[in-house]
Amino acid sequence: MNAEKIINIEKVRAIIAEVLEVEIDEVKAETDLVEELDADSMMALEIMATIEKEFRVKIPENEIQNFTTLDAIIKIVEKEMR
Amino acid sequence: MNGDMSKKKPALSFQEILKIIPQRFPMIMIDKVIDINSESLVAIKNITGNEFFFEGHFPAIKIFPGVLLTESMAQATIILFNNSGQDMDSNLLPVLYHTDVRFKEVVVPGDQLMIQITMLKKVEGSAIVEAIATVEEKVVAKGKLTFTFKEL
Repeated sequence: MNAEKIINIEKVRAIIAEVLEVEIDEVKAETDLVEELDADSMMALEIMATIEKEFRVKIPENEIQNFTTLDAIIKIVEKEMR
Repeated sequence: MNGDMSKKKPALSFQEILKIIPQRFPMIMIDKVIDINSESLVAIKNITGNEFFFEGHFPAIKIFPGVLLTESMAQATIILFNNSGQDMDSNLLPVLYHTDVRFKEVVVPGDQLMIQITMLKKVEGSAIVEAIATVEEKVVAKGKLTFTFKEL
């Protein structure tokens, strides 16, 4: 319950938009980052590294393949912050 | 990491660096490594007026090109990566994926570049590092580099 309060979803959205070089509005909860916004695995790594630094959380390397949407990323970060 | 390093034995000599990085003349942009562990590194590149690129960069005023400063950071990163317990497959070449470097001061012949690399994130075959280049303790460039190993 507390985790949801700690994670600033807009901050995560802004990080994704900055790495992918798209407008924040383009990153919706279910937007497919790979199919719709042309993300690649290195961009996913940059998103992961920025989130880790911003939220002081350690995300396992194998989760990078699950960095597919804003929603998915939030769920992973919430899980790791618990 | 500060102070007079001139008489200290380097952590890695020029010859040892050549065993790690694939670059060769005229693209070797690191002279020695003075401090290294698994997470960070400090390297030195001496800039001399005799370097080939000064003939054209520029004819009247000699300025160390920003892209080569970035190359120095990239080569230092390869050495750090090599020291951080990653297997370096000889079939794979390190290539830059993304650079975000700001250049704060010009670098000219006679300057000694000190390049500090700190690992921000490392996964299998890829890494993101923070790089800071200084001359006489003044920051001349800083930024982030993302690089990966590719089979080319």
